[in-house]
This record gives sequence, structure tokens and C-alpha cells, in this order.
Amino acid sequence: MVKFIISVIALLLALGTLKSQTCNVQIKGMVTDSETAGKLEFAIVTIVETQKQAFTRTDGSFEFNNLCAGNYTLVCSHLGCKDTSFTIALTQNQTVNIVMPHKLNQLKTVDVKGDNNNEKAAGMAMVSVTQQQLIPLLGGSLGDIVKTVPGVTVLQTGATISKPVINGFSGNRIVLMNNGVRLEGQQWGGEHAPEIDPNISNVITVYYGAKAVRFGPDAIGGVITIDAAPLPYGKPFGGSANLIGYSNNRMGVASAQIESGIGTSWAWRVQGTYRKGANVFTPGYGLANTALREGDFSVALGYNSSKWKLEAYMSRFDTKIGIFKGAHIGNLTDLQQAINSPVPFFTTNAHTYSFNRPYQDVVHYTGKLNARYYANANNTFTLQYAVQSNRRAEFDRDKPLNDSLAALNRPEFLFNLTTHTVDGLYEYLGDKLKFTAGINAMQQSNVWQGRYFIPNFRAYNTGAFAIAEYMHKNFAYEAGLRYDVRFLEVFRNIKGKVISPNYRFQNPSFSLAVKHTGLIKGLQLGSWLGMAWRPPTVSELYSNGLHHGAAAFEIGDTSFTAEVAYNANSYIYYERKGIEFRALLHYTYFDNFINLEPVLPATLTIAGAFPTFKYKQVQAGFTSFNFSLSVDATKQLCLFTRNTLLWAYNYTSGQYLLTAPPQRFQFGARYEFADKKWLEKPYIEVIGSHTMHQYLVNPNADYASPPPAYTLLNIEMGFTAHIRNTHYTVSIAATNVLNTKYRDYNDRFRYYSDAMGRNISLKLHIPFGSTQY
Amino acid sequence: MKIKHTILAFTALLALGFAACKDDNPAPENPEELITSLILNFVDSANASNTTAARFEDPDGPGGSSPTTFDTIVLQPNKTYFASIILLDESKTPVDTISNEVAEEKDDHLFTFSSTAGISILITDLDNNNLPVGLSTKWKTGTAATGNTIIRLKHQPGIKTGDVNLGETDVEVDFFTVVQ
Repeated sequence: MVKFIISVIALLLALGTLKSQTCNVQIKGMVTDSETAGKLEFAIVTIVETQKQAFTRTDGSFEFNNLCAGNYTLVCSHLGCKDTSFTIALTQNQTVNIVMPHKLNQLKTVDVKGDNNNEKAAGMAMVSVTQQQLIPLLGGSLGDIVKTVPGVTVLQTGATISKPVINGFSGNRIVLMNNGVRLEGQQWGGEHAPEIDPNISNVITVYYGAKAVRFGPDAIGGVITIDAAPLPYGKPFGGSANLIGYSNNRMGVASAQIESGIGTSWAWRVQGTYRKGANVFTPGYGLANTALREGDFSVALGYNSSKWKLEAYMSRFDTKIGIFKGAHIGNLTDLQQAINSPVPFFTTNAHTYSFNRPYQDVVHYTGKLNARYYANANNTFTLQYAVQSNRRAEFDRDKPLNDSLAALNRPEFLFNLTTHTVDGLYEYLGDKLKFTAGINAMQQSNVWQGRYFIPNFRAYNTGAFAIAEYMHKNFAYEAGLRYDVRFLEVFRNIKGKVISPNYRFQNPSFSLAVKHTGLIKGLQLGSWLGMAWRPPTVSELYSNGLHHGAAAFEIGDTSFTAEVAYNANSYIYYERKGIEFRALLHYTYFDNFINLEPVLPATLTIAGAFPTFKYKQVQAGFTSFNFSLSVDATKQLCLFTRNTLLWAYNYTSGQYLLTAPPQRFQFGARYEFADKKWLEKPYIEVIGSHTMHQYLVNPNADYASPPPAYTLLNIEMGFTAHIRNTHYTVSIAATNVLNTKYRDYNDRFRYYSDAMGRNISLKLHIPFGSTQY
Repeated sequence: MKIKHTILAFTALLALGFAACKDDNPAPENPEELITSLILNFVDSANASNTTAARFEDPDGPGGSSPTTFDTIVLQPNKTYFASIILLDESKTPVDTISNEVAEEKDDHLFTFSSTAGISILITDLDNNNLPVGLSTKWKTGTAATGNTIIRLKHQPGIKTGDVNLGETDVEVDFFTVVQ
């Protein structure tokens, strides 16, 4: 296999350098609308191979200069139109006319869609939430946005902290790529949300499996990529603002971005988000100390020439979240008392924006430098360096008893995690073959202060991968191979003596995928197999202490080996004549799955007995089935359903795994009214979602048995106002319209309080400058 | 040239922003504040020389080794005892008396007592708001019996009303109790 890949690389490099180098050819063209025959301004024409882009002028014209002769794929996109792509064999100056099919009413809310650039790839089991679909979802957290995708749920800690769960996997088993940088935050705690502002994004994609080899060995559950739009080279000044208000916790969100090209070579973008919310209200009562504040910004600067693209990016994410006082409890007795009281302690009627202990304060910086070199039409090289700094402070409910310690008002937990990564990437794009190879290197260090929970450590990770995609007739094949080595050095100070144990983990990972199209028009069938692995985290090896947020004593095990996952998947995708159907069947077998399990007896301390959880390695199996169907019943009315079923089993104990999300079903209808002059795409959408009781798990193995099933009703309506070439989007959405009282199995606050009641939001999306949408 | 300068400036900015901390010089893992021991001293109200005590001691704090001392409370029937509570942090040298800090912040603390051995327990000390504290108590025993006595310390900063259910539990010891 390795030999084969090496010979393929050698061959490709040879081919690449042999290519003819006449690079003064020009493409000129015109973009028109198929229905109105009008010239389309601001259509984006992209040469896929070189990533060069041009915007059409007011007369619909565009041009590319200084191109090398060769085969090119041109993609033309214009908002409201379906993307059009075609290939041309360029030998001399050429003029092309592009007719864009106008499909204004094609847009449904969050639909399962293939990404245009990757449509041909075999490992294409992914779901993108693109810019226009994102507009009604903005303002929410990353978890809120991705949970609209089938197979994705969220792990909540109250209404304000959420983290994504893909097919039952979360935390360290999911990789989050924030603008091309692998997020290295502190995902080891259930109440640790990803440090990402989704308002930065233009497209959010969830990958299951096959492609994951590229992002790391540990993308067992999948990968979520959050990407900003390409920088606006050659485009005049523009930007957009989002203003959002929520009724339940009186939260206001303001987000804006401005961007501009400076000539055709330079471009920049500045983006910022601020959100401030007051106490969250359940249908019966308000939850004291659940206010939040968040301020984020990012800056990007880029340089683009025919051969080079250099980009620098920096972002800061800063959130302070009040933790519901009634959920920050002491020992087993306190917990029982909290569970047994129908209305929690510490309720409130006040919509206050201030909060006190307990709270979290998390600051995450990301810096990135990315250089891309287009050697020729087929070969691209990328080098990227990124640095991340994550500072997580947790303040307990009570200050220390000692006055002088209390006066310092220090956090009880403080972690500083710093990560440096270097990535090198080579991409070959041919007619039938696409080849990607790369290396990743990472250095990470953690420093703690306050109460001991996990030790200081330093980790080094080195990995190399290669992915080949090949297309032949109606089949597409994809094979990926990866090898990683991780060194871990832990530093502990036990009674003044520093000890530093070492670990080394290494393993291959791979994926193999095949896709078939054209059996019936519109039908795609695909399957993939893979192996992934994950070294144990420091928290799994070394936790030893009281986790106050969870009221549990957590104990790690320093003898853990790596966790290895073998998965098999098959899917069907059909899209034709107003019908879209997708079904994905997935199974993962885990060798040495690291699981946090309750153990007896409880740990006896002077503060009482504490429920005790130990990390254990078990054999486990995850089976999931996701399916969605949408049918255009009439030209205006679309009916749809999205469903997520999961069975997670522990073969070692012979029981279903705790905390696996229960089965979920969703049914909805969307009605789109006809456009009227400036009023575009007015719609109303009603969605009912039913979450079952988690009947699989042993109800006695948890502090409180799983909550009963519940059904929620959500309604959303909105429209786009087209005024002087600018499209303003307005939407009103109500979640939990009937103010249903419920508790969710995957909400850690379910022990203490009901979930959020009715929440009505008003969202405005205001483009300005040259930005039309 | 222009690009080079930009990259250089950006790199410098990043380097400044992320000055590294020392990870190979960790802080000691024993916490700054810990309650390791509870001592209950009893004095017979009718005879000051008739004293007894019950202790709970877990010198290395929560987890690690199990508690080293966990006494049974043994009292005589039909007597009244004055009891006082001492809390210690024995992981420190010298030993830190935590109950002194509780006494200083008595407005934020409340001991609660419940016994199934036929003993009635009355709190005799009050805070600045005339609410009970519980460092000093009066225990009235009945006839011979066995049962359990649970002593809790509730931390109720700013929320103390006398309600025993409020606040976080700092101490909870369940003593086996014999009246004989």
C-alpha cells in the first residue's frame, strides 16, 4: 500500500512538472440569467484548479488573465441560482457564455446537501449548512446550529452550554476545525463547550467517517468544519450585520463583519460578535445565576497572486457563563435532595444580566498563517502554522472559608493550554484522480492552578496521511491512510517532589470508500470502512478528585492503552423531481473504549459520601440509523422528516451505554409564498420533534432515571426584502411554542431543573456596501 | 517585501500574545484549604469530669487512603451533655483549626444535627442575626438505644435563614451512636 502511494506521488510529481508552461492565455465571458436573460452582476466565477475567482461586473462580464494552457473546471455561482460547472480545455484565448438556471424557490431551511467541490468524492457522507441556510440560525451556539443535521444531537449543561454529539460520540471523539485550525480546547469535561463563535462561518459541514483521516486519527465520531467565506479579492468594500433578540432570557446578539479587497491581490476581513443574556426561564420558574456574556472577534488578511496565496488570521473568543446555583451541589445527600424537589432551590423571577459564583470564564486565542503555492493547474502545496491559547477558569459556588484566601477571589480551577501546530499539505487534482498527502505536527502544554484535577503535561503529536480519490465510469473510490505517534510527558508535584512519567502511543488509521451513481437517475449508493484510534487523554489517565460541577468523584487510570474504533457504513441518497431521501446506517466496534462508569462504594469523605465514577476500558458497539426525506407536495409546500436512531452497547458489562442520546423523530412542513415585487421568499415553517424516553439504559445505574419522552413544536417565518440590489433577511422564530415542561436526557441539568420554556427570537440580517446578501 | 513585513509583524504579535508558562514546574497537588477531621467533645452537664469524644479523621483529605479514625458516639442514658465541635486541617503543618474560621463567619454557616438514637440535640450558640450556628450544642439522651447521628455543616453565604436545606454541604459525618 505504502509503496503504491509512493509510486503514485512520484508519478504525479513527474506529470506535474512535465505540463506545458504557456501561461498567457485568457478566458473572457458573460453570465446571464436563464429566465430573464438579464446580465448577472456579482456572480462568482471560480477556476477550481487554481482557486482563482472573479466577480462579474454590472454588464455580467468577467475575465481571467495569464492562465496556463490546460484543462480547467469553471464553477459559476450566484445567490438564488443553482451552481453551474463545466470543464474547458484551454489552449488559446477563449470566450465562454454562462447561463445560470434561476431557482429562487429551491431554498429550503437546513437541508442535507453535498458540497459542490466535493460532490464527486466517494467518501461523501457529509452535510453542509451553507450561508443562506445559516442566516436564520445565527445567534445560536455551534451546538444549536449543527443539531439541525440528522445524526447530530447536543450534550447540554443547562440552556447556555452545549456541545455537539455525532452518532452518539462527543468531546474527544469529534474533531472541530475552526477556519482550518484544529480546535485544541478543553473538551474533556461534559460542561466544556467548544470555544468557537459560529457567526464567523459561511459554511458549517459535518463529515462522517471517510474524509476524517485528513483531520486526525481521533475523528472517530466525525469532523465538524466551520469555515469563513473566501477573502474578497478584487471585490469592493462590503459587509453585513446581524441583530438578534430572544424573549426567554432577554438575550441580545449583535454580530457584524466588514471586508474588502485592495486591488485584486489583497483582501481583509474584520468580524465581531457580542452577546449578552439574562436568566433563563423554564415554563414554571426562572433559574438564578444563568446569565451570560460573550465577546468574540477575528481579523483576516490575505494576499493572492497567480502562484501564491498567503493568509493570516487571528481570533479571540471570550465567554463568561453563570452556572445555575441549584446545580452546583455538594455530596450525595444534596444531590438526592435536588433530584427529589420538583422545583429547584435558587429560582428567580428577575431578568437580571449580572451573575455571580459559580461561573466559568473561558478565553481562547487562535492565530494562523497559511501559505498556498499553485505550482501549476494540477499541483498545490500548502503550509500552515497555528497557535492556540486556551485559558479556562472555573469559580465554585462558595469562596474559601479562610478570609485571606477568599479575598483573592481566585478561580478554584484554572487551566492554561497552549498548542502549536504545523501542517503541510500537497494536493493533486487530475481529471479522474485526486490525491492529497500531508503531515501534521503538534506541540501542546498545560499548566494548572487552584484545586488539583489533572496534572501539567506536555504532548507531542506527529502524523502523516495520504488520500487518493479515483473516478471511473459510475464509480468513485477513495482510500486514505494515516500514521500517528503521540508522546506525552506528565509533571506532578507530590509533597514537593516532581515526578514526570512518559507515555508513547502510535497506530495507523485508514478509510476505504466506494460510491456508485446512476443506477437510477438521481440515486447514489455508498459504503465505507474505516479504522480510527485515540490515545487516552490526560484526564482519562490522571483525573483524581471532586468534580464539583458534576458532584462526582472521578478517578482515572494510568495504565490505559489507546482506544481503537473499527467502523462500517452504508448510505443511500436520492434527489430528483422534488424528492430528497437520505439514509445512513453506521456501526462502530470499539476495542478499549474509554468510558466513565459509576462504581461502588461511594467515596467517603468528611463532606459526606460522593458518587464515584471510574474511567474504564470496555468493548463497545455503536449502531446508528439516520434517515431524512423531503417531498415537494406542491410548488409551494414541502413536507419533510429527519430522524436519528442510536443503540450504544457495552459488551463488557452487557448493558447499553449510559448518556447515549435517545431516539429522535422530527416532522415538518414548509410553505413558501409567491414573491411579490420586493418581497422575496416569504415562508412559514412548522416543525414538531419528538424525543423518546431513553428506555435502553439501566434506569438504576444513574442518579435519576431517564426523563419521559417529550414533543416540542417550533414555528419559524421569514422573508427577504429586496431593496435596491440589497437583500435584507428578517425572520421570527419560536422554539417550544407550547411552553412544554420537559427535561432532556442529555442535559446535565435535568437532575435539577426543567429545560428552557418558550423562546421567541427576532433576527435581522443587513448587508451593506457591495454585499448583496 | 511588503508581504514579508506583514508576516513578520504578525508573527511577532502572536509571540507576544502567547508567552509560554512553565509546565514542568507544577504546583503541589494538596489543596490550600481542606477539612480533614471533625472532633466532637462531650461534657456531662452534671459532672464536668465526665467527658467523652468522637472523631472522624481522614488526614490525606477526600479520596486516597480511607479515613483513619471513625469513632462511635457512646453516651450514657438520661443525661444532658454540652458538646462542642472542632474542625481541623491535619494535612498542614502546623495543623489548621478550620472551626475558628467557621466561628469568624458564623453568619454564613449552620450545623445541623439529626439522630435516630433517641437523643434530642439543641443548638446553643447564635450568630449576629440571632440564627443558630451549632459549634456549641446540648444533647439530651433518653433510654438505652442504638442508631445514627448525622452532623452536617452547611455553607450558606448571604442566604442563611435557619433553613437547613439551603447551601452547599462542607461537612457531613454519619456517626454510629450508642446510648448505654
